[in-house]
Amino acid sequence: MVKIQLDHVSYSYPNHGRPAEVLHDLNLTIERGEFVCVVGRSGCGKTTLLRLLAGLDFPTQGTVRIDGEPVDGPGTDRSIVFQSYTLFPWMTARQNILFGIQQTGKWGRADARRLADAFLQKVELTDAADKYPYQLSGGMRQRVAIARSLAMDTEILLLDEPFGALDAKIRGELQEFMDTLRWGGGQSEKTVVFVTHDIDEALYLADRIIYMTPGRIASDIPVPLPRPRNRLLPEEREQMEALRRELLGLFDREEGAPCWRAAGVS
Amino acid sequence: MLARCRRLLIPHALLLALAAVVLFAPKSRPGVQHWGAMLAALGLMELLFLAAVIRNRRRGTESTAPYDLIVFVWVLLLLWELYTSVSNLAHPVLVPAPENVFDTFREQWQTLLLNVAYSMQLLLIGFFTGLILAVLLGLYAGWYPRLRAFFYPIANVMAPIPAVVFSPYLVSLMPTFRSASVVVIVLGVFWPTFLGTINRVVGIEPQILDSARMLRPTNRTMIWRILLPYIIPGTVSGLKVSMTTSLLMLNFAELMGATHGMGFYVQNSITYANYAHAVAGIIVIGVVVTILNWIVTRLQKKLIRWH
Repeated sequence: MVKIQLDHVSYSYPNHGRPAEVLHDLNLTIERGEFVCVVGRSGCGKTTLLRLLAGLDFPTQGTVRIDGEPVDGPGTDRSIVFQSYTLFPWMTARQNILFGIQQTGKWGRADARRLADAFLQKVELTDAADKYPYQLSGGMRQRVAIARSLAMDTEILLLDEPFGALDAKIRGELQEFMDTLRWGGGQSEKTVVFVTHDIDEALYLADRIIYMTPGRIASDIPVPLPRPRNRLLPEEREQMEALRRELLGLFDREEGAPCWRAAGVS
Repeated sequence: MLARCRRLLIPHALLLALAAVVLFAPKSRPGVQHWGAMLAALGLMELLFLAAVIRNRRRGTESTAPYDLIVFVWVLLLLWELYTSVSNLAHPVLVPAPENVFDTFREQWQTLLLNVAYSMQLLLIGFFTGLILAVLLGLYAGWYPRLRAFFYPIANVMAPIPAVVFSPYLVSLMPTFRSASVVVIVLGVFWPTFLGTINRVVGIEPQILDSARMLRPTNRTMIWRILLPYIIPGTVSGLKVSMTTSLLMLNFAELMGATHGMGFYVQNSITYANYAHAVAGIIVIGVVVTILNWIVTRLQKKLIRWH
């Protein structure tokens, strides 16, 4: 079943009177329950793509459809985790999650609270429930943000380099955590779009990897590897290596791409 | 340990010298009041100093501020005492003796307290009315583009005009002096805070705005649960300044046509050439400002727990 569909989507913004094109004629179909990673160099339009899916921005041409309906703004069928600052600094971890749950309007007060506590436990932050974001480490903050997204029980999860600002160890833990949540918790009905510039992260998490060059989708690579991916068999491991080489090749082949000039757009 | 003792030695030597001069030096100026009130004030200052030293030690901070400040105060008082009471070199009317100034606190404490209470009442009514109105309207005017487009230019014109400019006019315009002073304070607090609130709402961090938008808040939720807490830290840190400005405006307004209040007290004392009272009144205003600042700082810590 098709969940997300992009038809000839272009996005540009006015730059000193002349429109600067960030996305050019994108076509993409994402099935329900798919975990899609979008990779590419910075400045290639990954984040813009995610913002169009979120409804935070609108395409200048073409349409973005979710469940067949054109997106007309943010909706509580979607939740998002940014690289940083997804949480409100004036709310404790629990209040942040609770606020997300309440905004969906699906649960009453008592249920919402129980749900928030359950998800805090799931991300192993029960002890930090009453702490404010500034009292939490970067990894803990992102865990709370993910817990909020999951607790809202949205059909679509959008993540914009959620582990980008974290150190390698915590990053690995959170990747593993995403994996267990998804494949151990039976939440595979959720459609996930995960933006990253880290090939290994994408290979570890994705069912499918979309590789973008500035403004365009250059490759669409399925990742038919079993899960959990940290326990692959030797021949599967080889297959993963082959995919990694393919992706690295794509990054290397892309030459002279003036991505870095499109400052502020990644 | 030794260094600490030495640091305590100088202030206390100065204090002893000061007390000795006040108690035993022959006074050549006539009409110097009894030294009782002055010594009591010295004792109070010494206690405050010791409290600061103890707090310093408890927190493990090595601030030199209490020592330097108390030395400054003792030296100042000593010179003042020598210059007036002892030698009578200063102008006998324009520069009152410290004994007389401190004696004012004893003799006039009821009057002073009454005037402080009167000023505080006007100040707090005006200040909080202006603050609450400005924050509420600022939130709405910041969030709704049409309101913003209307109010922003007006606020930009009004905010930089010092409210004291209106005060003589308002004093004649309003039915009572009390209402006039309250209006002056409200105006003085309202426009800058209103403009600041609009700017803070408009300048909200895009990430926070995006996060909020993803949760599809109603306008009401947006204003009360996102924008209000978002602007509180900035507003509260501006409180100290606006509180001081309000007091300034009030005291200024009281200079014309008031019958009570701190500004009136000072003005009235000067009119009757009672400079001891005037200096005492100025000291009281200083103490009041200090207490207000202290309250605001406490409020800041209480109100913003997420920083």
